Amino acid sequence: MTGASLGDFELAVLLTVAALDEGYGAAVRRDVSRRLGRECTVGAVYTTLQRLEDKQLLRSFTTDPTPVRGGRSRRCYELTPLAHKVLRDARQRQGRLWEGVSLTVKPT
Amino acid sequence: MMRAAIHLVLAGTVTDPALRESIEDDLLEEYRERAEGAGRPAAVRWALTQLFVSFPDFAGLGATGSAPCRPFLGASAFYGVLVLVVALGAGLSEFAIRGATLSGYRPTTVGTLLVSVAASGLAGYLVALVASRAPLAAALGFGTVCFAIGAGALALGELAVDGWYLGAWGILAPVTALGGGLARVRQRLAARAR
Repeated sequence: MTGASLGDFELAVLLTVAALDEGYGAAVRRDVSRRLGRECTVGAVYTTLQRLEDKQLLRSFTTDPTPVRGGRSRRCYELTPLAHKVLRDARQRQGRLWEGVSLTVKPT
Repeated sequence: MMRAAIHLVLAGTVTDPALRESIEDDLLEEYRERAEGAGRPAAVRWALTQLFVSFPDFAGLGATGSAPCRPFLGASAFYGVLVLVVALGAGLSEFAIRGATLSGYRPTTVGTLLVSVAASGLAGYLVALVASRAPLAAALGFGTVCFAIGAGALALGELAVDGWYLGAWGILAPVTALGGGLARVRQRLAARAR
């Protein structure tokens, strides 16, 4: 276990950044909305990205200028080694929680 | 037009210039995509909704990492002022319909109102300066007291000034007091970032 604890939305954002090739704000918002099945706001996503950066689970960097943005660069996020450990722990914890659980409906 | 609206809201809330630019570019990118796909009206609706709903989050985004109470204060202040302005707007409309507003117009009272409103802004700044742990909440609290004084005087009906003055002051004082508080918060965050 690590010291960093994760909320549901933080976990969703962290997994989204892990899955994306280029994890910048708009891409993270679109993908996390698709994964959760609801429209997430820009503010919520950026607040979470910053919180994860504060927890040293993400680090941000600036890309080279891109023509899509009229020659401006993107602020991208990537996982830190600590985030990899936290995600592995979260996955193991989930696995333990599901052990022995069967959701088949028993006839009454 | 939409670029200007996005820029204005972000400039008034997000203190870190790099983060502000990044959010602005992200919003504009999605806005353009939606305008091409779903049409401009839908894209405008989406962008305005994002700005409105995200305002408290933007206010909570700091230049030097997040303090636990900052998002709460930003949200409280924003929605507090919103509720107050709507409530006051409804009250003042009723007051105006009764015909008391324009009949009481006097240039000297307009001057007094301007001075009072400026004083509220300055007082909001000073309150936020003193209450450094919760500056926005303190400024909003001060503004609410101003409103209560104005509303109380109107309700009692013993007016030394024109009635419209108290109504206008009641509306403007909380907003300018909060503006003063925000100015102080932004100044402090900028100093911390340096």
